[in-house]
Amino acid sequence: MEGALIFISGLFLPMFCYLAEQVVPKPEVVEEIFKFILVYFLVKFIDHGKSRIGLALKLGASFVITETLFYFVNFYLLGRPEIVVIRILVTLSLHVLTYLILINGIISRKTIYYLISLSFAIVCHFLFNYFLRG
Amino acid sequence: MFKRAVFALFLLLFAVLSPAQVWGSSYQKCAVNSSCVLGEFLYDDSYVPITNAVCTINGRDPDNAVFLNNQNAPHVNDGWYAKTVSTTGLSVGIYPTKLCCVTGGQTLCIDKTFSIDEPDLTQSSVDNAVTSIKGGANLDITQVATSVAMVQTSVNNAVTSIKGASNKDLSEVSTDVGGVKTTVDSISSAMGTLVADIWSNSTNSFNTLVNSIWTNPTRELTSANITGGQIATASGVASAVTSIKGASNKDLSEVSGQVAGVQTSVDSMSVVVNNLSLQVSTVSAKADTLLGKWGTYSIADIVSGLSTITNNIGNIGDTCLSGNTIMARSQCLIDKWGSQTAGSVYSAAVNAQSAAESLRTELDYNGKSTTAYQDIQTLNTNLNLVSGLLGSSSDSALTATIFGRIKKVEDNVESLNTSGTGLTNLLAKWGDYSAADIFDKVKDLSSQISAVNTVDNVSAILNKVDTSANDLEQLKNTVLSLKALVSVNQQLLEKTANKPIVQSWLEEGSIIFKNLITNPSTTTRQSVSLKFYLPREATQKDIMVVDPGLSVVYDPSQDALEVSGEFDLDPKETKIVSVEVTDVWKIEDSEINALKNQETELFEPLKGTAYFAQGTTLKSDIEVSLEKISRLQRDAKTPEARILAYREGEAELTKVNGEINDLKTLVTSLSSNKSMFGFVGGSQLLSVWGMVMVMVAGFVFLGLLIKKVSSTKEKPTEMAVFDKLTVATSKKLSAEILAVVVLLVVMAVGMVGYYFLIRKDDGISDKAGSLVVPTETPIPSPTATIIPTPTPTIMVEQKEINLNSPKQVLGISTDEPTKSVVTASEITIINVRSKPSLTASIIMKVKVGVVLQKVSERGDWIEVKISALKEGILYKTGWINKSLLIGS
Repeated sequence: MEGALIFISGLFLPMFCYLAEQVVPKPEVVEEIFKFILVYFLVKFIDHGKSRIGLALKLGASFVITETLFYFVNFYLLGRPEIVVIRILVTLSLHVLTYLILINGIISRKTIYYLISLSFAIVCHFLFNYFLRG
Repeated sequence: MFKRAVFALFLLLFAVLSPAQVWGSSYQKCAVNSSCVLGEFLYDDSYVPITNAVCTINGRDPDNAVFLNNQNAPHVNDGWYAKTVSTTGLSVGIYPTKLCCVTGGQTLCIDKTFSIDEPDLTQSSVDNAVTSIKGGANLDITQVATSVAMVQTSVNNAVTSIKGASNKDLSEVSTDVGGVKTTVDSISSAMGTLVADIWSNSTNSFNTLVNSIWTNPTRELTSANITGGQIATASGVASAVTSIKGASNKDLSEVSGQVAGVQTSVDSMSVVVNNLSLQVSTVSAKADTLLGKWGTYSIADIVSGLSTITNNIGNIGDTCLSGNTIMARSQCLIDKWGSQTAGSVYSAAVNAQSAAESLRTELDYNGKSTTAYQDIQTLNTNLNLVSGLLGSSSDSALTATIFGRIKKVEDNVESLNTSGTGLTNLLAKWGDYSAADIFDKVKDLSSQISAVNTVDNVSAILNKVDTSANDLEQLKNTVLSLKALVSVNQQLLEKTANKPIVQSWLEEGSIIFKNLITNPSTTTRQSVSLKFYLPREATQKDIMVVDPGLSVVYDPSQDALEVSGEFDLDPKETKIVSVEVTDVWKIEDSEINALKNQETELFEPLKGTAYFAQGTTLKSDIEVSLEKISRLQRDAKTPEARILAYREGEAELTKVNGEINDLKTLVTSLSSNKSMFGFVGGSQLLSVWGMVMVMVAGFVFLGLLIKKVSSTKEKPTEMAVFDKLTVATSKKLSAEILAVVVLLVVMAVGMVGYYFLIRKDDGISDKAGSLVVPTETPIPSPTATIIPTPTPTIMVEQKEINLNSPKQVLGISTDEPTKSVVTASEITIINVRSKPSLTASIIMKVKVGVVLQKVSERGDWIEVKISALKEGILYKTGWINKSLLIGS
């Protein structure tokens, strides 16, 4: 049951991000903050298992599924199905990585590490966007 | 121990931080360009000055060259031995020097190394230097720097001003001026002979030049008011052309052709009659001479004269085309106007020919007998009869001669032309007249046409005006049918007698396709096949009424409805048959208004954004197109014009839809830039609300799930939860590091792949991680497959003839744009580029099978109509390599 909750919460996180981005149009900051909040509460209140990688993978995959679902309109318009594959590949890697960073920061239970992990995740996300945008 | 260490450290710090003087005396300093005294005091052990020592001094300069070589340093006083050294001309640096003194057998040497330095600065010297630097202006460095900056700004401004808008420096300007000078020089040298060259040029004279300009196909008239000096726009010219074409929608060549056809026919008949008259006069004169000199002429003379007469009369079998005899020309008259008018001429000619034959026979057998004399009298009488029937060129239209007939035909032609013009003008100004005025004009024109009408059984047309005094639609139909009647009369005058005439026209109601079929022959019953195609927009369900004798079937080869029928017409019989079709050639105002509203709504969110300019352009284009559609429909006075307006309006509508899509793309792109789900704005409304519902349902489900989890399971302590993840083992750590490495590698590979496979290929700007959609979402433009409407044909006596020009269907243009179909055998996506070059940027991609509209062609490239937004630029056309297209 907890596994499903983790996955569903990961699926719906982009919805919250969407609302927040209406006010603050900085996707890398907004998304990572929301991820941090989600991971914090999941780690604190939900039985999430022992594997940090497993948790990051669940959350990252669920996030990417929602992203891809919404982005699918554009694949159709562009008529380039290979974009779907590449996009899933790279965004899944990014989100799993940033979730892993955040999880490691949160389990330290120290405020300074909270900030460091969040900042690091934001930077990773920003760099990813930057390089991909070219 | 600790105190010692602190003390030692303190000493060490003191030693390190102490100035150099602490460690020993520095060398003696001597100023440049001065005198430097090098010396030393000598004392004995009792500190008594030694005065008898011999001292010498040796030294080297900074370059290690000997500078002082055993120079004597004499005793001055009180044990002071010294040597004065001039530093003038010496360089700055360290001079290793040693002073050695010998006294009492002992030698004592002392290091007297000195340095030559720049003199120390004094406050006054600094002040002087500063004063000197400040100079007369007494400005410090900051002030000077400010002044310099101001000067620099001024200079920059001056340079910018000098460069001007072209932003060229003087050397570039100089180069340009040089180029201009060279050009001017060459022009100047050429100008001397220019006029002579032009005048003497055999192939490009002014006359040729003017002709070339005048016959240039792309040249436009400089407006109807040519003296006004205005340059007409293309739309102005098009409007003028429409005005000139009028309701009949016939261009000048067609109208001219039709009028000229009638006129040429009349003129040719006039020539025939004139020649016939001249020929008859000549022959008649010859016959008169033979008769007058019957007694004096020999038989040979009479036979010779008779041969001339018979040759001119010709034979019974002569046709209009066979020769220039009286019989042949008489036959021309019969062919044209029937035997009723020219038959008597032909009969008299036949009688004259018969008398001439009888005369020749009589002369051969009996010589100049009484019978022969009677024969030549008969011949002369018949020739005079022919002459009388022909009449003279001064005969009026009322005279019953051939010349009178010609005059009458000419009058009829003029009257028909006047009536036709009057009807055309009436239609063109339809909206300007009241119903009463129109009624009066139509009645007058109907009377004029009735006076010259030669078609029987058309009272239904001619009397229609009496029943439609206030019914504008009926009045317009009367005008349209009268125009058709004028056309039939003109054709009867132009064409060979007795041939059936078919005339088609359209009337208002719904749309009524009417056909008048007439048999002008007074004696022969004729069968007429009628066949024509309805405009392609008409379908079976639109057919309302079909007259008996007509059938309407779909012709797949022409993709249009074919109307056909067979009619047997008695002599002088005329039939009018029609097909009534629902008026589908109208773009409803509601549709135009809906598009206007959509355009306004789509434009609204673009205000104050970077897309405002493009949006304004599109909005303007859309409004112009919609206004054009309204105007075209408003100005279309006749059914033909309405169908033409509909087709033109349809083309405009397609364009408008494309531009609406462009506006949608702009709005979508705008949303995309603002948020990560912006592209949703471009989706259907249903999708958006669907998403909202899913979100709400998801939140509810999430809440319920959390509640269930927290109530059914013992909540683990915070420490226990954290501990689960923080139990770090070396195995776990290794796995995590490995995972991070794998993720980074995958990301790197993916990004490289993305760049090389997609981004580099088509320049898609994507920000995957943030879910922001690309700023471009090329949408293939909607393409309408335009099927050509077949050329209408009318079958007349099994001979298929074109009723109208190839581009007309019952007067309706069937021009269509060329289409190209994208195809490829091995690839599925084709690049559309901004220019006809492989190096040009790709503005969109299209799938194989998409039908695109061809705009132009250049070399191996085809320009096609598209609609794509790329880097903020809206492309309406693009280029595709010809090898990838079919139907190009």
